[in-house]
Amino acid sequence: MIAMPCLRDLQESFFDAIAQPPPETEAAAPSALLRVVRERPPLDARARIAIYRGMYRARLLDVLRDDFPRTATMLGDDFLAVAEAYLDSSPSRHPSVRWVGRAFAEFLASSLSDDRPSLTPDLARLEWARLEVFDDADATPLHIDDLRHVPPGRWADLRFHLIPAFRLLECHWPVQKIWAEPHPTQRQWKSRTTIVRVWRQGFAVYQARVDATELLALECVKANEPLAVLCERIASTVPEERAAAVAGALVLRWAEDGILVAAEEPR
Amino acid sequence: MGCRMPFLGHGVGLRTKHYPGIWDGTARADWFEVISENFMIPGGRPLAVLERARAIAPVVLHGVSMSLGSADPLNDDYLLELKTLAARIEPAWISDHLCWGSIGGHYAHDLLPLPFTEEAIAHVAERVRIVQDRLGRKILIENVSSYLTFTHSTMPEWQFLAEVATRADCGILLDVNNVYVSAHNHGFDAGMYLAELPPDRIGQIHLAGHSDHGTHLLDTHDAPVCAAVWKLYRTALLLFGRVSTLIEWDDQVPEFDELIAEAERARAIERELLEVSLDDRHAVPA
Repeated sequence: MIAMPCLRDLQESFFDAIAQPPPETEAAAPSALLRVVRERPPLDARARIAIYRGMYRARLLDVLRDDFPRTATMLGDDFLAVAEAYLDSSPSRHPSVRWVGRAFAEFLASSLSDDRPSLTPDLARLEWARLEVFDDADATPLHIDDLRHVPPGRWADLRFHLIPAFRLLECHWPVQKIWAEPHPTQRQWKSRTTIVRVWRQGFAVYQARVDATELLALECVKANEPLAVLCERIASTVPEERAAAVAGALVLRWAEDGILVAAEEPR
Repeated sequence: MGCRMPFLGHGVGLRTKHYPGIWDGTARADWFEVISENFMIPGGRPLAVLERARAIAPVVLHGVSMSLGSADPLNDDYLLELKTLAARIEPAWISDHLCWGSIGGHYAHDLLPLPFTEEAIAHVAERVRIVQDRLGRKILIENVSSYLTFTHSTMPEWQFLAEVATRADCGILLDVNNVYVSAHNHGFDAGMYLAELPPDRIGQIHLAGHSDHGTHLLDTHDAPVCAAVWKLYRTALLLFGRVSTLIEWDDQVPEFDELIAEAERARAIERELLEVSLDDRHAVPA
């Protein structure tokens, strides 16, 4: 008499059968599971398990293709093999399919090969950042009119926070350009250290390159430094007498982009 | 005790394609059902659209990852997030599937079949009771389409579904298309399936399309409801009376008008069979 598996044993062998790469030989099939799957023509037990394996693969590959469309384009025919290898190495650990691609960029970075564009990890990071900010927490951004009412004497003390739906990426490639290029595989791209900010304004997601001055300024905001300190820091990248004007211009641009939240009520 | 839910009419599943219509108020339906997990997020457009939909009509939260049949512990974080979402949206009810989808901390993102055994009944019923306790409300559990069954099952699926619902004291979300698909794939009588369910626990009906793969039917939700499923829906209405009905369409989603046309067809069948007048549409059954 065949011992019937308990629920856990059954589910573990079932999951292995659908999530692991397809067996190359008959002998490699999950025999413990095959014994308890009812056969009914025209499908035998193996074919019935294969339906679930096919759905598992197709669904998760669709998710990765939807979440990383430009990375998939850049990888071309290689995408399927890379995505399958990723799913094999990183089964989903979250109830929402939304998080399936969470480690895809890191996987690409750790498995770079000579025949694969080395810009793909950065491109995947950008695509993932865009997904993250798309449904990050809402915040009421500082409006440019809020700043107009601040007396000149109080500007130096102003502090800001960044909205939750904001990411700063340090990349080795000009990913914001690669992302926006309709036919990115038809151009030769040069590696270049590029800082990109990604944010959501309303329901739309945006991205822009950040220069050295803006990066310093953003780091001050993240550190909750007042505007006076921000001016001091960026004075290392612009003439000192222009630091205040540059800082003011940055703050106005950030307010227009909707990425600032007042750390304290402007008065 | 039963678990009938308020009658909401004939609704449609809310999918991304129709967000603009919800946002500008042109997409109207008796009620909407949404996939819970898609809205268990911090903010942004999906939640804003969901709140707009909720302002228009009743909303039901339909989950796909509660994994009620899993041998793993229930996911506390998931239940907390679901409860938070429910507090925000105030859904008419919450539902998920009579299946498992995770084991060993890994999620398959699929609705995987259970063996129809006493062990599984006891396990799932206990977990449904815990979930209902945590959420502070009754839930509905849905029968899934399946492509395999187990040799150690000791009862038919309908008996398993009825027994879990009774022991857990929860409602049933009867997916008529899933009954049809599974009946075809496993060779049982779909009409008998329906006839054996406890009428006082049927809280909602799902209707959807499927695809024929020659050797089996696949529950793809990518096509109109087929004639055979409409026929089975008629049987369900005659057995269970007026039940909130929803059109599910997840892939190759059509224009909103086409979805509504399917919902209107369900309404017309209900009126024809049950002679429900327009004025009674939103009445709540005793």
